[in-house]
Amino acid sequence: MRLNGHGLSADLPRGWEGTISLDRSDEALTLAGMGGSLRPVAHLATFPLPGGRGDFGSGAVELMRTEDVFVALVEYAEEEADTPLFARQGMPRHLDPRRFSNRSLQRGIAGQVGWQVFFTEAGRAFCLYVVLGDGEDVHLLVRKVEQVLTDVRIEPRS
Amino acid sequence: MTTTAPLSRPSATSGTSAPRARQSLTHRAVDGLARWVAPQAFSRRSFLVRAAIVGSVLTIAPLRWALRPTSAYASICGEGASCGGGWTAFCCTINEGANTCPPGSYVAGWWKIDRSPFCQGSARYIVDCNRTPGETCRCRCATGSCDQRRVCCNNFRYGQCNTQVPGVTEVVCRVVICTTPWTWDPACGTTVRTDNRTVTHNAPCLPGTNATAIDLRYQDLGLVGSELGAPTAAEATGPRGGAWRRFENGVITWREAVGTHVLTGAIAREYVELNGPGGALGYPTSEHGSVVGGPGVIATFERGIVIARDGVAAAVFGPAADLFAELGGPAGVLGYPTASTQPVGDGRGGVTRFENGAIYTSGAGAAALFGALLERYEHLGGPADSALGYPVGDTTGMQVRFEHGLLVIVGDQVRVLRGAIARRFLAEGGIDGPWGPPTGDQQDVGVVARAEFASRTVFARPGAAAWALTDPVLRHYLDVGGPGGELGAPTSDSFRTRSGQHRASFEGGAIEVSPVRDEARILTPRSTRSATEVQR
Repeated sequence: MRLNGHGLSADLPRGWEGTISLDRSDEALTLAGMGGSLRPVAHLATFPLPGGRGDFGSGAVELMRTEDVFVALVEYAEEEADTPLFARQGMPRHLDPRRFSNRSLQRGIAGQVGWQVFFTEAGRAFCLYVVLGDGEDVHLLVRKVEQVLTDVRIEPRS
Repeated sequence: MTTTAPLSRPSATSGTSAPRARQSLTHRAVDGLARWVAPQAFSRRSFLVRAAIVGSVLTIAPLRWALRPTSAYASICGEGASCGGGWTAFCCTINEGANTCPPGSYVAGWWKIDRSPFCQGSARYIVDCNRTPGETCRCRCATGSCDQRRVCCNNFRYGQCNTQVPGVTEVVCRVVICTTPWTWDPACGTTVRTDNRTVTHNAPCLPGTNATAIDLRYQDLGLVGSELGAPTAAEATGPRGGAWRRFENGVITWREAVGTHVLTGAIAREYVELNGPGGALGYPTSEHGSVVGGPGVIATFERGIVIARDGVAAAVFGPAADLFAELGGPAGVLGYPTASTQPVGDGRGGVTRFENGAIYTSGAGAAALFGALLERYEHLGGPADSALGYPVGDTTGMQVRFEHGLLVIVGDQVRVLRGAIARRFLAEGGIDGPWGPPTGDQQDVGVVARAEFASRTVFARPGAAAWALTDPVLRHYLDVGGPGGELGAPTSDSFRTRSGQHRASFEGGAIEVSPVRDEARILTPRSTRSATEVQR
């Protein structure tokens, strides 16, 4: 399964699903009219993604089984690129299992662990947020995530 | 980490302070619902508190509250309010009621919630306060009445704010606002992130779903953590459907047409002193701004302005405000106001004092007085006691008109003319006319007023016209006693007859002076003449 949109693309292995979306709701467009910047977010997961989930996966991570993983690739406005928070160059395709922690979650959920990194790639600012369904099985689940990240592409903004 | 057990329901036999039959329907309904809220003994105060809580609950989630076995406190705080829920607590829960980032934390990111009932149906924004790098904080559970979410536990960052700070630290707590974060704090970026799953999240220290515009403005300013401090009064209604609320160090006002305005410090104190929106100033039309080209702050209102400098504020309102603006405001000729506009003793007008003058207002309008002229006017007793009344018209020339007279600047002196003499002087062209400037103040000689000019003297009896006499008639008139003599007051100006005689008429006769011999003849009415007097 191939996802493509907003200068992002990903090839998903069997058993994965995902979306690349840009909030174009009336509320978001109203905010854009007030100076807000609308930027895409990609959600990749090994379980069915519910509608109405938060950009960092709330509403979805609560549904994860222990063998599941959830990946959010969240873009920020261009002017944030290369600022100290986004100083890292390039999205990590290989993850360090030791970095995952049950404290590194937007919402602490028993058993889950997560990790978050901000970076700049192709002149664009992003946050990669990964949630693993089982903190006891980090190595296996990290390999699962890396398999997908290898095929995630970020194009320069035209 | 510890968690606090949810409030338990009281037993069915829990007592109340009054038998049901003696309670009003409302009281019974609220008590019936509120009994589930807290098992403490009832009091009137606790009744009111519980009524408010139940009211809030019924507003936000009536069906869920009625059908599900949950406490009212839990409904107020929304979903995931326990420590085990994994979310982070609201700052006001852990920061002594302040809806601000506590010391040792910084604004690190935000998300929006669409169509939030807590923001009158508009977007609500949750702003994360993350631990400042180098600071320490302990992961724990909040101990709010129902917001028992985590504090300093979740190492996570939304990332739109203060991106000059690298890395990710724990979220200490969450601030709530109803204005866009990038206008609330310029350190926040504009990238819009959304999480509508958190729509029910709240805390008792935050406004509920029935929040007013003033409540929300106060919230966005930080609640008790704001410059306003704590409320000192309930929200009050104002004129024309508006509202206002007083705080320890300021006020917030609201009107549908203009929204909310915040006033603080000396300006707010003066506004409250003047009875807020129901007073002379009306509603604010701006918030504090710096005085252009000078020190201090200024706020504008529907009917005036307030300027504060060195912690002291003065209000200028009504017609005085328009004239003050016309004259250049604090940077103009008047300078800064030194006292607020206040009524004059006669009840017909007002006065506003400035560094370099004063503005007097009355039904005749507003007029500014300066320098020696103002000093003389006030020394004479001002509008109430000078018998001049209020200034009218242009006050910038050398002769300034009042309702009942004139002040004329002559060299370093200010001369007073009143009534008929003042009117006649103006009719003759004032200081630029043939009379020239007055050489002294108008005086009363008995009941007749007298004023000296360079080339003539003018007399007027109260209620009568003013007449000007010149030499030689004037000299002879004064020789025979002037207004106090038998001739009484003049009833004509001096003039030349066809035969060249100088002549003027008086109440008691006439004076005719031969220009050749400077001899005066006093002419009295026929009925009073003796046989030797000339018959004319």
